[in-house]
Amino acid sequence: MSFDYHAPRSVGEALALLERYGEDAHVMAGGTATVLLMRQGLLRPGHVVGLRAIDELRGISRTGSGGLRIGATVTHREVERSAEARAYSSALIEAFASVATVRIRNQATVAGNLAHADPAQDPPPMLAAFGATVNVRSPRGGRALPVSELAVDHFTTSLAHDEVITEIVLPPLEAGSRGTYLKFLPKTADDYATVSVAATLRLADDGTIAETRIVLGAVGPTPIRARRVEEALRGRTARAVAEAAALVREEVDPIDDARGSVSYKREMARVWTGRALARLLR
Amino acid sequence: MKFTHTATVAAPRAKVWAQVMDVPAAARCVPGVASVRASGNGKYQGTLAVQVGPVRLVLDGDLAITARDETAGTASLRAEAKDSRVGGAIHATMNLALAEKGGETELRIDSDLAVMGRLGEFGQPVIKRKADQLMRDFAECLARQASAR
Amino acid sequence: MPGAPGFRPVTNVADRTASVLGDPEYRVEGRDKVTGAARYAADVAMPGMLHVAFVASPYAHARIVAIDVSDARALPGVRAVITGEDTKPARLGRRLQDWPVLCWDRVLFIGDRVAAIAADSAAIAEDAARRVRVEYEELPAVLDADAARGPQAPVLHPDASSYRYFGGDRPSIPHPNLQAYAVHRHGDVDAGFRAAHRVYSHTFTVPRTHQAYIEPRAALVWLDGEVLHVVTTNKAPFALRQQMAASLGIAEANIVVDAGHIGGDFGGKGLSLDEFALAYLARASGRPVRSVTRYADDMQATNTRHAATIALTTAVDADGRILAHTSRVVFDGGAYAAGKPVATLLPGDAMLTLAGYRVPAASVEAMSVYTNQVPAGHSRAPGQPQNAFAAESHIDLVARSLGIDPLVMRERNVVRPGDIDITGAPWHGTDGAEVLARLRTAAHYAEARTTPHSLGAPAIGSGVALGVRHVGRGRASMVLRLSRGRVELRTGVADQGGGAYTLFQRIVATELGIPLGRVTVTRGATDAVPNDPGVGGSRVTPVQGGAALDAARKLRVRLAELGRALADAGDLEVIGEASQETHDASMYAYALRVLVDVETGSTKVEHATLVADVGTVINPVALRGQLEGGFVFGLGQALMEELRLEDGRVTNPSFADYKIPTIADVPPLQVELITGDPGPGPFGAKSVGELANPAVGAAVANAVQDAVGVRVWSLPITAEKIWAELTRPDEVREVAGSAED
Repeated sequence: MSFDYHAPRSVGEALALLERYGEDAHVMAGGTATVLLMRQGLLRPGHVVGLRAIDELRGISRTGSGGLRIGATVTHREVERSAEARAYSSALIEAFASVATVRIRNQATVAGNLAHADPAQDPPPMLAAFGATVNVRSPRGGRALPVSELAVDHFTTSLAHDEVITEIVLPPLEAGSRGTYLKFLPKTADDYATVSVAATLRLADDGTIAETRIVLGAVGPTPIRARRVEEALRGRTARAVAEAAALVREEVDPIDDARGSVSYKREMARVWTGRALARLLR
Repeated sequence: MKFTHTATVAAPRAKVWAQVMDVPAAARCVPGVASVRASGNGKYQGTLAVQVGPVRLVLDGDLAITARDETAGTASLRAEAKDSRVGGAIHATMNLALAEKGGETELRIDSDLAVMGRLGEFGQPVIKRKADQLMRDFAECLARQASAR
Repeated sequence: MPGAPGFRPVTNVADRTASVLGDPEYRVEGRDKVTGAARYAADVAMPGMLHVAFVASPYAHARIVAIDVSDARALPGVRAVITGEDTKPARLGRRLQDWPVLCWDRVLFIGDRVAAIAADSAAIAEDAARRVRVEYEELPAVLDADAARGPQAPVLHPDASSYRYFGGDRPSIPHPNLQAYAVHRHGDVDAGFRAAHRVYSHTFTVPRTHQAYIEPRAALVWLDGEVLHVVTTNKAPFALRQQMAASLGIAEANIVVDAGHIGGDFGGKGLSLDEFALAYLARASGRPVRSVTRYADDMQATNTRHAATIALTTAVDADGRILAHTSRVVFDGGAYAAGKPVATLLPGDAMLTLAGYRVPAASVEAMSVYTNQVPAGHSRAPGQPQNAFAAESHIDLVARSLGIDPLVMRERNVVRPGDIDITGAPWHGTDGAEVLARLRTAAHYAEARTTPHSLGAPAIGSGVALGVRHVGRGRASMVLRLSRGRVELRTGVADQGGGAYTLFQRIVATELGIPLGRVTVTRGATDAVPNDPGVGGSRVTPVQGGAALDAARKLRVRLAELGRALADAGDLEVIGEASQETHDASMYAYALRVLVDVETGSTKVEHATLVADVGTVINPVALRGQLEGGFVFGLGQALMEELRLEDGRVTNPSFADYKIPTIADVPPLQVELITGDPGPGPFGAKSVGELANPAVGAAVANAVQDAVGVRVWSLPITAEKIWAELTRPDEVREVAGSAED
């Protein structure tokens, strides 16, 4: 395996490299996914464009409106230990801290995780539940798109080959809104989820559920938004949770693998959706 | 990995049979098939491009009709393709059966697919889903084409 | 050519007051391992060395029609390409040599090798391997051990009678697709069944598992004149020398095998594959050649633990006392029997289907079957995790059915010295009653059994299981040299991580009454040290440890004869020997507590107590490490490990999908040692390396039933299996897996 490694100092330089080498170039941030694919021989780029030396892709900060901006090459561990991220929502910390092991989290980046589009990853459902957007740049300019529109299939995103994620922006949380992330790991603590549930919830003044957003990981080709469950809960109370959570069984689209059969995963999606909601309503 | 796919075609059986046995035309129903040409003796050569995320495969291979019985409306096909870059191969057998039902034809494809070598290490369950999707698209496309003619 | 590059003698700790076995233990090679100085086979490189790639079969069963290597050979940087035509009829194997070095006629499993390439770099070799065109004719595959024994099954090894078998005649087999077949009978089985209050039959299954060592296999082979040098991850270098000599037609004297530090073994590293083809490539290229197995290939194509189906039937009286037992164990041996070293060609403890109990009469049938699956071989306590899972689940089911507490059931039946056990011979070893008495006390069994369950919380259950393991047997020898007041022990034992060198140092220092620091342990290749049987079979402490002790004793006697003290005796050399023919066995037992999430089936072991009869402790830290490691090893196989196969292909050939426990999964483990019953090893030591892992699976299954009332009949005990039982309608659940009389 041989390739040229490029370490551009700016996003502009990175984009120029992608333009120059076209399909023969592959963007790499932390490399935890890319290097594995290369070692397996499944990915054989002639040019690897590393993003770690680009200062403008770093850093975590609160936005003026009370949201959160996470630079593309911020590591999982940096999010996990960030006071700004914790102040935004402890659920965000839970999702990032759930990924693999601390060795991986020290290396793997937030945008790398999103661009890899592994449906079993932990942060994407949580970011989607918070309504996060990603800012993307290409030689043609910049655009923003919701995290929920990034992954389109297993390991496949809607990004063009020459597009680079520059940052992730989480909107300000509405007053009273809270979030949670639950990951079902029936075998070992170091595993991909059998099912994971990211949820946010806000109660109305009368104690009913004003709004909830539920996104499941590992039970479909992309993170799955449980819209029917969300709708069934609007204006209702905790008593509606069991019935509403059952609707998730038909919303998820899991595969049969070492982590369980399709029918088991559908049932577990129900159980863990119920648990996530119960936690938010406690 | 074994799959069964069915599709109902709004056309009589004989017409569907002719459509399905026109291999180069039928093969265009497989998403990603670039070219299929006859190489004689009921054999064909072709190329299939598949992409799963960053992994791009170009599978070069042969397709052969190993059995055909127009009276019974059944045929068997065997496909072998190899990606020499990644180092993997796909072998598939397909058993097609056509049954006429009140002016319409039910197309049934039983396929058995093996994904071998490095390619298979990408994750057999994901590959299985991709293959399932591919075969479903194929069956539906065949049905569409035959219905349209 | 330089000899054994990169390997170093084992270093020692500084002088310490020694000669007391209870002293703290310092791992002699620990510093090298922690600092990265320790060299493993894949670290060893030589000038001009070539890299190797193999071409493997994508079919479970096929005939090779043609192989075209011209494109591979034409690739720049390729130095040698060989196929089965170049190696035929060479076959490899530990006891039965049935595995072709490279296949020339038929391939028998996915991963079976047909060609090998040596090139300037690994990338070129891999690239060349992709250019080898093999035309196969696919044949019907036999993927099921029952189907393989049917009258219509294709015979996978029609030429079996021509295969080399080390050590006499191969035991006869009643069906051509059997690798091995054995029956045992003792006592009056029929009378036992006639007198029975109840008879119980249960069937259990255990999947293939991988040993999950951290280091994949690696080998470096070169020719120096007529002498073939082999650097290997094999843990039994003398045995490999014998196998290679026979297979390749080279005199043993012209083969030097060097096995240094091995990055984990767990039973799997006794079988070598690459070394044989590398010998041909070294000859063809005139260069040193090295291969390092990709882990995915290691999982698809080496030697796994046998999958097995274990059917047990036991007759008991009204008090639950065992009267008679019959059993049938079918091991799926995969494509080749080459991985099994024992004379029967069965996994070592294949016949122990009710170990640790008084069994007045028994009829045991065990077989290993050829299939077109991944070949199976040895893995920590071969045969036992299968049989212990079955037996200890079975005993629990019988106890529950009779309304007897599971520990009481075991107390009534546990074997005591002189009792006839499952082997039909009197039990030599631990008093089982003492082991269970210690377990009852240490685990606070009575209190644990009455812990109330709180509503809404996970269900709590406790389970017990016992196991036995023989103390290792065999012959070994090593050299002890005295020079200027220091002694050097020269051994051929490879270091697979168990702590052998520390053990030898402590034994020699203790016997001679000198500080540890004055004893050096040096490992040598097969041309530098006396014959050694290798690591395995719970052998190192009683056998090689015995040879170290014998050497120290002989030196002490010589010194006494000379009337000299160690310091001024000049240079002396003795050879220590041990021949261990013991029939001693050790017993251990677990009590563990699980928490079961009743909505998901997810099970966590919350606490475990292990009582183990270990005899005299020589390496206190390593001993504890072996017991704790054995527990974790067993925990993995209990809860998560399974090599998943579909049409003969492993679908989870990486640690992303083949899960083993991490430290976060390991509950508190309370270890209680019984040391008062001396064993046959040095100073009364016994063996512990394979003592603790087999019974964990059944202990978990028993605790799960205690917690939620459902039985899991197969390993691993996954959340989904428990959930499936919990959500199954009652009338269906009653009969599932159990044919209770």
